[in-house]
Amino acid sequence: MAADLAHLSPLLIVCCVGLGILLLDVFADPKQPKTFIGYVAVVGLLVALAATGWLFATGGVLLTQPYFAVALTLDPFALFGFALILVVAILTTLASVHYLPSQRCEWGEYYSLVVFASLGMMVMVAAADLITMFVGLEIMSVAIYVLAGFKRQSPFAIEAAMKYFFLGAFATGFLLYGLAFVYGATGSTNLNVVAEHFAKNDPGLYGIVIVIMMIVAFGFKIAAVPFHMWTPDVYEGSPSPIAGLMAGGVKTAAFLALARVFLTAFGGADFENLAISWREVFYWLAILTMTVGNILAVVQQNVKRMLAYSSISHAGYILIGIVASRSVDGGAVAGSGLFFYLLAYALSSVGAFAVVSMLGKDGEEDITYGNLAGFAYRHGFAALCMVIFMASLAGIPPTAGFLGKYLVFTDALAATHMNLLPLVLVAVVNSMIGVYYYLKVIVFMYMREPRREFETIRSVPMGIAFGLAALVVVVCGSFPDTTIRWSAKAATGNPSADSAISAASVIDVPAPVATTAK
Amino acid sequence: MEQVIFWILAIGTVASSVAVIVPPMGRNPVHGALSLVVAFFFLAGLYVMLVAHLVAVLQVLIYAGAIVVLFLFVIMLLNIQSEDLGHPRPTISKLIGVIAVGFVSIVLIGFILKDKGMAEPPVGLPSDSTFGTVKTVGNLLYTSYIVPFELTSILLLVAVIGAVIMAKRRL
Amino acid sequence: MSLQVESLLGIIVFLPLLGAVINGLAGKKLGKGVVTFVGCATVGVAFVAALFAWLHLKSGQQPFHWLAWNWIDAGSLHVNLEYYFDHLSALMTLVVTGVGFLIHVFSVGYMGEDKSYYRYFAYLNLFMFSMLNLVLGSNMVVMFLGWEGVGLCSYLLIGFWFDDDLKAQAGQKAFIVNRIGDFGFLIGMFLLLFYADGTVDYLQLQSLFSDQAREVGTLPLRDSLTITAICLCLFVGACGKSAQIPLYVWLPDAMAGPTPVSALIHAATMVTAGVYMITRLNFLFMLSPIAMATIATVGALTAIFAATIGIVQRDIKKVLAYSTVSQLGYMFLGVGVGAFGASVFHLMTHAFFKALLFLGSGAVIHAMHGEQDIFKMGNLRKLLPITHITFLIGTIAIAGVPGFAGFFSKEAILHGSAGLGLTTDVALTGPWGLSEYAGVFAGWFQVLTVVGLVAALCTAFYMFRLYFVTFWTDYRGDRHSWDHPHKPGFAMEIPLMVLAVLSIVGGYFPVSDWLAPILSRPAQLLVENHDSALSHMLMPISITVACIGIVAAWFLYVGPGRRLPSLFASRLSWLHTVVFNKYFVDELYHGMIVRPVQVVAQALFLVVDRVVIDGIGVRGAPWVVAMTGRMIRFVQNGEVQRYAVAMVVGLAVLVYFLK
Repeated sequence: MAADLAHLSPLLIVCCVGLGILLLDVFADPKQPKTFIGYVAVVGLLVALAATGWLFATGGVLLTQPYFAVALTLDPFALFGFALILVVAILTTLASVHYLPSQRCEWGEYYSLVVFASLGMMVMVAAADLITMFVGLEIMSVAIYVLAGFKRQSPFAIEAAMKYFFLGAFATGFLLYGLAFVYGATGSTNLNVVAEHFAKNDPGLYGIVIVIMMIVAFGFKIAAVPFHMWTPDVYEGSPSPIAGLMAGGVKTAAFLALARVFLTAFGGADFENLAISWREVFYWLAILTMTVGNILAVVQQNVKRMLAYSSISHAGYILIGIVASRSVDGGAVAGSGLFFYLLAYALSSVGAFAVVSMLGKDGEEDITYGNLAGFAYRHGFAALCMVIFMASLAGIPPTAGFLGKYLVFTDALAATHMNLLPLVLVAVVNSMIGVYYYLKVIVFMYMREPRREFETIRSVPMGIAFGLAALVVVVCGSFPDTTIRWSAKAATGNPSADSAISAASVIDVPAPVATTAK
Repeated sequence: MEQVIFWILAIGTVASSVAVIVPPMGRNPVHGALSLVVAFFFLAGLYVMLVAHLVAVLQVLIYAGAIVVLFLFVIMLLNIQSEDLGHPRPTISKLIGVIAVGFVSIVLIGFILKDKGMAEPPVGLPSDSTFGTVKTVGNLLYTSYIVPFELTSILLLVAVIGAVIMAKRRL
Repeated sequence: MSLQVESLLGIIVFLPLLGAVINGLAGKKLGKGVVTFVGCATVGVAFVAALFAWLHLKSGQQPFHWLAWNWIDAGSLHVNLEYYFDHLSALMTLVVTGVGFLIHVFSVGYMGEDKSYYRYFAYLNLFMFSMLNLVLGSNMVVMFLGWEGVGLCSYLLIGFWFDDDLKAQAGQKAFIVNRIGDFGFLIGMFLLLFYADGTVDYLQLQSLFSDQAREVGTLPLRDSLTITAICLCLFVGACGKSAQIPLYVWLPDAMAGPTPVSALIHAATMVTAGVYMITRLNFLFMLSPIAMATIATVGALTAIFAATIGIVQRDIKKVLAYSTVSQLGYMFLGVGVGAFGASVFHLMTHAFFKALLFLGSGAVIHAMHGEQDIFKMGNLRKLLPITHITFLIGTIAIAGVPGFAGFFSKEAILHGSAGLGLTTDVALTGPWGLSEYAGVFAGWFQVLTVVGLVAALCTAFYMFRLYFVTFWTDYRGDRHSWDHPHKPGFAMEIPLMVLAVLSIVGGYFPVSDWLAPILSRPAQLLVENHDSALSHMLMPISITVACIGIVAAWFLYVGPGRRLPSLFASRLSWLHTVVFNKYFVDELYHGMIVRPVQVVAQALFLVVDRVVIDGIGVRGAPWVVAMTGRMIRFVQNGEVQRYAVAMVVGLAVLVYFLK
């Protein structure tokens, strides 16, 4: 039990940090700036990150207390997600501390909402039970809805928040509908029990309904076409650091949860034999998502909208990683490219949005390429970091983004369960289109004279945020061995799979019984 | 008998839910909210049929009682005139939406009616007589579902913070 | 020797990068002298290092590797940043660093006045680094790194004077056309990766394919189709980078960049990357006769097509640009017929004389205050004696006058092409065992040889036309330029002289023999079988052709026929218009590709973004309105409903497919 608490420390620390800074804000002098609360949050999240690192180094842990074990899985898969989410949250917080005063919305609750959103994401990726995952998803979503509208004096922000909220609630409806059918079909919501059930029984029509509902619900969170339409509006209206959190954090969490749910619970052979297997659905979703995202990104004039569409197209590439992954022995995920790609993508996007935050000084409703003109001559370092992020998103070596694409594509080419060559070719063509609009940013920053003077936020922590992100992106791209090893570890290790099943059978979850005639 | 009650409740739930948004009831927000109350009552009836007595009671108490009353307060406070709402126009996107929803519904109904379809659930209710009682649910909440239960408190806290942030006039 | 010879490769590759970093980050503060020193010295030292490495190889030592670092080394996946110095990369490195160094020196004089002097050198050094990665990399991934890198630098340097919109557009065009090529290259690379089970290293690939090569005739159809697809995709990449039909359009526009850049990137080095790549993968291309025949055909067509355009251009750099396209066509003709050694030979000599010609034109343009129209020059031999002599040497070399470098290499290529055409029996018993193609291709290569000869005639003609109009006849430009020319300094004249010497002696280096070790067995067989009766006949023909071209140019532009060109132009004005406007290919592309793409993108944007997202009909509320009113209108009329509709439609489609 005590050991379990130590093992749950990343979650507990994050939870305590969130509550602590909420209280700190209450007792703080309302006249003073709230910057220090941000720093406290960063320190707290760093501690949680350290705890995660410790657990990851031990190769994931088994929770002994069965009531914990049925709800959460602390395998390397989850811990990798924890680390990524925590890093994204730290960078977001650092990017925010001077951004908030410039937007006249510096309230301490911001930081606790960021921390709680991260907690929700962590719960999502560690959930061993669909109910737990759902609660995690809602914690994350509610916090993000509010953060999206945090600049509440701006109608754009309010609109973004409202849109996100309505559509998010709509998507949640699909998720719950799917969950209800999972329970109806198997009598349980525990992923391992569900997997065990479907391994013995044909999912039949239930399987189809479950898969459809889950795809719609997750498709919304990962912004896959055609469930993507909220993305540009919401990213544009949200505070830029929060857009980074959405692109880097929310998507990571949603993708990892999706991978866990589909590969664990619906990974069995019977699901492959549905009219069309979910892999095939994701196959076509991936093609649609990257193509539409890319083409629409090309015609954007607004940088935040461009980044939003780019994040949509990246969802398509990441889906390739999901399609290429194959569950082995109920739970493990084969294909480390997915994790590496998530890391590269998350850090590059959060960094890019951190740089965009700099431009937020005089209202950021319309950050066009023109606003970036000559950026490099006044903010050399920020521009250099932006170049790195753009190169990484475009997949140009030696950044992490290039390697992520390379690994995902080779995973896909090596996949034996499906011929993914056409998918890879479409992705290659798409990534070439992508280079166009990423390079456009660089061209405007370095090769255009500024049209007009506009103020930017000069902030050291913001610089640290994108500087760190750029450093990681370059180091992961240049010396990727360690990261690839971590990704491989995250992809294959699932120590608690067996124990969770046995734990579920000892406790008194309402056990499925034979159908009673009515 | 059970079948008859089920169909009455089921049709009632769907019909009153549709009435929330579709004219003539849906034209007036107050009428819409009241339709919602009706829908919640039908739903509670369905829960009773599933032997989920606690959930049924909570449904009536919290949703039909507290939440919809809150809705009504808000609607009254906003004092929306019908001209504020504009005139409902049938648009192509609405039409597409209706067609899509109709198609999905028809397919789902087809699934239920199909041989070996979803009409017979693969797992049934536990024969245990304590199922759905307050005691059992409470036990579950504090044992197997302790983690999500505790996390729900965070969810509520976040929702409260959010409400304050978005709504409070001065922070 | 304490210094390992392998680590020379490190010096060669990374010194230019160091220079780029220093100049790029601190150049503004360092002052011109330091920038010049850093920019030139890094490349110069790299050249010296390359010489040492080459001597090592020449003394009979084995080719060697240098591992910079284990880039990816996890599980089954190994990709190293590794460099490989064999006969081919040695030659390429020498050309790149040698010509590169001379052009760096020339730039000191040419770009001396520019306010972004340091930025220019940073880009130039970065280009050297990328190019060296391309030619020295020991696997496909490093080559890809260089391939993208040179493209980027080229793009940056074309648009170097970015205050000029037209030049920025030229950069854009180069970028987009190169993207199309890169599609092909990347797809070919991934297909190769797929086919070869993730092998990226050249040597491993070679041993993988050489087993198949021995029994090419028995290669299963599926494999031979796959290999053909790979080769054709890679060739599309080569077309983009090396400006072949139909992707050559960017190169003439790329002349918007500074002239030394045109010399370095768009004549001597980067544009030959495609030839290098195909030669490097000769073991692969030899397995696909269809791909080889395609390459030869495209090469020959490009050679003649660009040469005819070159005849009527007025802009000195445009003439040279089309001449480059044409000469690259020759090189592709050479690789297409399996004369890899001859192609690389021509690549080298072309690097010498074309760099010389470009630098010479740069000196002319510099002297004439930026004037580029040759008909506004004339009689410049009086003003620029050294430039005149060196330019003449370059012109003679490219025209194919015996004794000069261009003659030997061009001869070698035509020899290969003609040899393949006339000795089909011998050749086809060798590696080209797919006899069903034999009849068609044998005759075809003879046609290509004739095409090559005609292109040689055109080349001799337009180059001497350029020379005579610029350096002879009467001066036709404005007085000011004549009275106050910018005389080239030593920094500009010395590289010209060195290159002039190389343009003469470059032809005596036995490149074909030198490259023999890197060719796969079938390619070697092919070279041996190139010997034919025609080679003796070919030489007098091509000498005659060159002389006709030169005399005709003299006759029409200096001699008694001086009035004829304008008469031709007015009598056959339609022909002149068509050719002068480059056969309207740009307009054709604009109408057939650019416009439709714009229309489709715009339509997509309209349909998806405006109609579906913003709603059919009039867009709802204006953006900035009071919040409450906005919220109400939002629920009733806002876009969020349509987003939800899109989701439901997605759901319906899913249901439709899965039910």
